[in-house]
Amino acid sequence: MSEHDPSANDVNGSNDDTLANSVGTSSRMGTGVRRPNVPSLAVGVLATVSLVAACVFHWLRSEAGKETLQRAANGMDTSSVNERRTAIGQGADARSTSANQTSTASQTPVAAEVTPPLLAIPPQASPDVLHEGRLVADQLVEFMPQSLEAKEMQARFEYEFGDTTRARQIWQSVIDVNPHYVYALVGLGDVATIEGQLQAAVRYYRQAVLADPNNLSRQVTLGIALLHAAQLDDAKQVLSGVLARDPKNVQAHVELASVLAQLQELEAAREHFEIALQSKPELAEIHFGLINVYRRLGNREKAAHHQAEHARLQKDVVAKRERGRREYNDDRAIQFDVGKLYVDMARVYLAGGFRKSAELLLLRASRMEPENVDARQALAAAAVGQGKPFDAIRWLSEISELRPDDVTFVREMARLYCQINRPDDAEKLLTSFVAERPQHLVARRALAMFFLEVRSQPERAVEHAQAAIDLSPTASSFAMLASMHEAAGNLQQAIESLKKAVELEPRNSSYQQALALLREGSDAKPVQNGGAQQ
Amino acid sequence: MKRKVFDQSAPAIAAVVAYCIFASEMPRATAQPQSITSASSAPRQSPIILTDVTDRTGIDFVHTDGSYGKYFLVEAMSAGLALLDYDQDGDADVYFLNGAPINAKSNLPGAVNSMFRNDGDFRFKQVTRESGVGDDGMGLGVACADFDNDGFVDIYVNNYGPNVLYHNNGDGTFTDVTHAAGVSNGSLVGAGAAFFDMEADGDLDLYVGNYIQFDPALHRVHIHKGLPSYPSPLSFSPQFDTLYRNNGDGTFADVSKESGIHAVAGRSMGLLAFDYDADGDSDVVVANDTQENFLFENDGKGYFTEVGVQAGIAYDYRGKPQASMGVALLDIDHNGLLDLYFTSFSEEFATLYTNLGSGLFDDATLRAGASEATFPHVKWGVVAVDFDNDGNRDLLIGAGDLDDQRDKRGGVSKSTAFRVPNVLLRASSNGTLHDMKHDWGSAAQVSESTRGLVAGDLDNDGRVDCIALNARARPTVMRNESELRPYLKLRLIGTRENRDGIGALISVERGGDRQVMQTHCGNSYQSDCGQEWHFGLAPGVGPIRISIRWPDGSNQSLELAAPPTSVVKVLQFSP
Repeated sequence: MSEHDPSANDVNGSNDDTLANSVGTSSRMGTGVRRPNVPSLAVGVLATVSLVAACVFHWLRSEAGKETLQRAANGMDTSSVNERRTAIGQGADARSTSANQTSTASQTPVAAEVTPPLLAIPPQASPDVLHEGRLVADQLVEFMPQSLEAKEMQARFEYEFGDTTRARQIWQSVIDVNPHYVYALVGLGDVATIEGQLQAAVRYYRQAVLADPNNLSRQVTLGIALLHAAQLDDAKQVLSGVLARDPKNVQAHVELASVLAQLQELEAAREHFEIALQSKPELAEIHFGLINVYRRLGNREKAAHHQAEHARLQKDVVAKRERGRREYNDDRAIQFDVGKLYVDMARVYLAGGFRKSAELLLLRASRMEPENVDARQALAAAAVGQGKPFDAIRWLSEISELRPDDVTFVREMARLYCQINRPDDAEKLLTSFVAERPQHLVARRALAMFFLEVRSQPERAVEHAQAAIDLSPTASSFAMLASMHEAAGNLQQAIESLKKAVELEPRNSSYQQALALLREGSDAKPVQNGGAQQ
Repeated sequence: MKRKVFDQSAPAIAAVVAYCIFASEMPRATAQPQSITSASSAPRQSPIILTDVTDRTGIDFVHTDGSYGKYFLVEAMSAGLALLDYDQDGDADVYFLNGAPINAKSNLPGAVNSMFRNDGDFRFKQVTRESGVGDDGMGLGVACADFDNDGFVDIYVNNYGPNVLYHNNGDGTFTDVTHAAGVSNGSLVGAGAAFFDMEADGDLDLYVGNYIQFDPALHRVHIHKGLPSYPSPLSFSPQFDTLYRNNGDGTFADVSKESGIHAVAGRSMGLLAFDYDADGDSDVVVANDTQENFLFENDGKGYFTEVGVQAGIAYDYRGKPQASMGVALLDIDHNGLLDLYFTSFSEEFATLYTNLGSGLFDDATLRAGASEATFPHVKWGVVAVDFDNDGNRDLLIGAGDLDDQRDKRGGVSKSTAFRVPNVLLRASSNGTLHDMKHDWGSAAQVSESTRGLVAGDLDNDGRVDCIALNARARPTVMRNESELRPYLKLRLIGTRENRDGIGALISVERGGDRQVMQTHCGNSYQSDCGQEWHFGLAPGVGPIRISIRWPDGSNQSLELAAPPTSVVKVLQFSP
């Protein structure tokens, strides 16, 4: 039974309203299936592009910028600030941790282009979509039989849309080749979980953690699995380990609190629930946990407080969940989810040297689900890589229509316009965005940098930097303003701005150094926008 | 004001035993009680053996959910069943609910609720027509009790559509008195139901669970993994339950609003009434599908406040709502406080809430063990009975996916398919559970899609047997062939209150071991196990002390020198 709980508001704060979460779960609550971190090709790809944009335009001209763009276009960048969640990325991670790795996509020899077995007319009904999806997944393996990433795609297709037994078999075959292939281990853990083999699931998740020890979210997954398997002491140890490395990990706090409550360590449970609550005061589960521990600790007043909060929050959760169910569309959900998987399959094609195949798949993905941002991001990145900025702009423009309030894509289009010597178009894009959203801090900053670095109009840059300060008077905003003033030749104002930045962040040595330089009247170095985050 | 569960200042034991009838009614000739193994202070573990004897019972009932490819959610929920001694011949008869096509022009011929008379030795006879209880509605839940205190058990059927109240005429026949009694409950989608005396006035009131606000015209078939599937309950708005107050004259009044029941709407499934906070009145616990469970606290006068969250039974230990299905009552840790066990959907544990006292429960599922055994299944009926008479109530759980297309989607296991074996968890005296896997007799090998599940000593041999109602299939009749060990079976007869003594709290002590149970109507998944209360006595030696706190607050005690070999009927003391 296809179940969808669009209100599922996990402790990571991902209030996932997408249809993606709805397919492939047999849980009535829609929370049953823990996907093996649904890969998102373009997240990794465009994260790099976004990084480029974040460092804004002057960086564009550097050799490093060109190199990164090229990597992004290839879909093989490894410098993303985000965790690499894709299969390929994971494969790369696994390779780095395993001497036994014998097969990778990058080792696959480039062969003649293949055409993915896409139906002539994009299917609409979910059985047809799934039929096509299975053909594509199977062909991927057929053409790249040595590629573990291709098998990972095939297994994931089966897990989410087809036969979990087959998924398990495929993942097992991957493990037979590379015992440290993390996504296969996670997949096997997921299959074991839904089959009720909770101890086996723990073993798989533990192996995944050993293969990729720096991935904390996976350790939280292991902690939850241990909790489910009633291995409470181990669960406590694992989750405590996560918090030792990431004290602000809300999910780890919540899960550890649940473990401690089960161990009857109520005061410690209370403490972790309270810490989690500071970051996620709107999460009903935390309040429920606190109701229980406070009542058992005898503090009825506190319990009553959290009960009232829980009731208030739960109303919204329920309303959202029920609304989601009523609006749920099976065909659309399948198209959405298969489309997402196509993006990841395209990445495998790309890594195997089948660029044309990848593009075809991405095009299909973008058409199957009009809101498939990932596909468009990947197509944009591919176009950049092929030196087709207009194509890239077209894809980014479509994304921008889907996410009109996200300046990331506007900024990227502006960057591309600059690259092809069309700064007027870039300015038009950015200014119209800011005109429609004058309170958008990041857009203000981007426009300020544009006027400074591209237009060499520091006065206009100052105007927008000042607006950014009005919106958010942070140290980085003042540092940015200082750089604008300095470029405009207003050294005293630059110093005043930097003094503000130092006041706000006295421990930031870069601000102090820049201030010292300015005060010395040095004109050798411009003020760096030290620590400014876009 | 809280009262003690048992008044320790009650008069000395034997002195207050006014009437204690050691029933001489024996089972039919072929069902003589077996000789009982000597009790020992440290009971050894003996196998639990439930044998599938369906084929030899004469029960030819085949359940239908009325489905015809439209995938109405209500079909998948299907039905419960009941054990009741309708003819008062001393053995439990069985009443099966049946389904009907939804939104169809005509019903399936012969698809009616069915009564089978127990003729002893696991032989049953179809008596639906002569008893007059063959309702052809979409049967979902059932509750049986003597609502008019005439000494004969009556039947309430909770349908999708108008409900039915069958009055037992005392001659083997029933009369439909629904409209006269005023309990048809409109055309709602039913669920569990329970008779209980909410204000201790001596007659039984009626709580009627309602599932969802369902309109066939708004229904649409969903697709999952390319195949049609049922919609989620969340696709439908929750529904208010209904509470009927017994007027004492054969009629009922709908007091749902003024009683506070309508303060919250849910997606009711199994339910039962018991005194969760030991304040002397019966509260109502409702297992809700895909949302928080409800616990309606009774103020003793029939006004209810929903306290599920503060009591700790609304959500599981991680604060997640479950798709709760059935509910059972037991004292798993022998602390004298009644615990709750809920069944739930797949990838959810069946959840054990232990009673900490002071109206507070704790999700002890993980600590009790065997949670893994329940995780993959869709779980429905549940009975908490002592199969091996070792003094601990074991849990038999009915299982089976709700979706008949489940198997075609691939990846099903013997836990997750539409038809799967049921699950038996054996309880230990320390409150832990152990998964018996498939090692509990031939009934463990039966793969069906169980919904309702009831337990009772069908052959009066001192061992609790079971019957499972299986969706779209024949039921499974399970004969308990475990080693026979000492037991006690009680049947209460109220004189100053409801005739069945529903709501009485029973305490049985022997050799330092104490067991408690509150008599209740309606339990498991929308089912009813009847009013015979069974206690295994193997762990103890010496006399058996029985204490009963009747719903009116009076206490009654009696002592038996040795385990009886047949049912003990306890007539309420009349001062």
